[in-house]
Amino acid sequence: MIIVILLLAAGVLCGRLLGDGAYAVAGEATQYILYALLALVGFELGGRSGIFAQVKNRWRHAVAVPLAAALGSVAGGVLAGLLLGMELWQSAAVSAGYGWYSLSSLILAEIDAPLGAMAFLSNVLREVIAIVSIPLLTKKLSPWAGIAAGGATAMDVTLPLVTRSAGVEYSPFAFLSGAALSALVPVTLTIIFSIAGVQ
Amino acid sequence: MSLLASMSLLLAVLGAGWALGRWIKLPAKGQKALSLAQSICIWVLIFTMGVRLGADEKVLANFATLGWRALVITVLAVAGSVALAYVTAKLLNKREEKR
Repeated sequence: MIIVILLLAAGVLCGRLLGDGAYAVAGEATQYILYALLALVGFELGGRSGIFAQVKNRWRHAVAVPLAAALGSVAGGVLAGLLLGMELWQSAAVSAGYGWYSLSSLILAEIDAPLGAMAFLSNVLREVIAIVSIPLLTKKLSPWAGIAAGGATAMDVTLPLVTRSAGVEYSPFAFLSGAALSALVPVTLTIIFSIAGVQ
Repeated sequence: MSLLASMSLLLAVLGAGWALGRWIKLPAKGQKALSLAQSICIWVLIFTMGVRLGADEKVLANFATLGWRALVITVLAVAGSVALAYVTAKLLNKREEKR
């Protein structure tokens, strides 16, 4: 956890000093490293037998955990809205990005520009919090808690973190959970909008 | 990129790695090297994420005005996700043990 925070802080500092040029380079690099990592996770999965049987055996986990993560996230968003005195549909909508900042900020910016900015920031923060907390949550609480913290990012950025801290047998579930939560972003937002009566 | 396109790309990369992994069996030493390679990639990834955050004027500008509220929403959203998923998995684990 300490090494993660230090690396992140060093990165932020470098980015701050280097500015715009660094953003493009780091963005490109992130993409390639991510693919390399996913290929390595895939490779490790291929070396294990019985992965598919395990997913089939625990299909209830694969379905219920992402749904619980989605529900818990929105409930947390509503609670935050109550504490902050925000309109509840707004805080709920921000929390329904599940860490997929590009999509949720795009959708919410169409309704209200500051809300889009808030969604962007909050969901970037979710990714950061997930990166920092997943190793700890996985080891101290449960791998499922780590997968849920990752939200939509469990299918890419935080997938390798789950794999390293929980074991490769959990990576199919992490991928499935991230994919389910990604798909649930537009669905949840539509539900929230219709309840709130927002176009 | 659309969700479907990015998801297919991720699956394709995972699948390619998986196929290679089925074909090439690593000795214990190779397993260790694989773990190390993954850890190094994760560290580099976290660093480049930090660089992107630090170099992004939009994030920094927004943080000053919206940061506090965004942080409260995010922390509670993650806590809610973790709590509910933890309880759900625990109940399902119990069900598994019974059988």
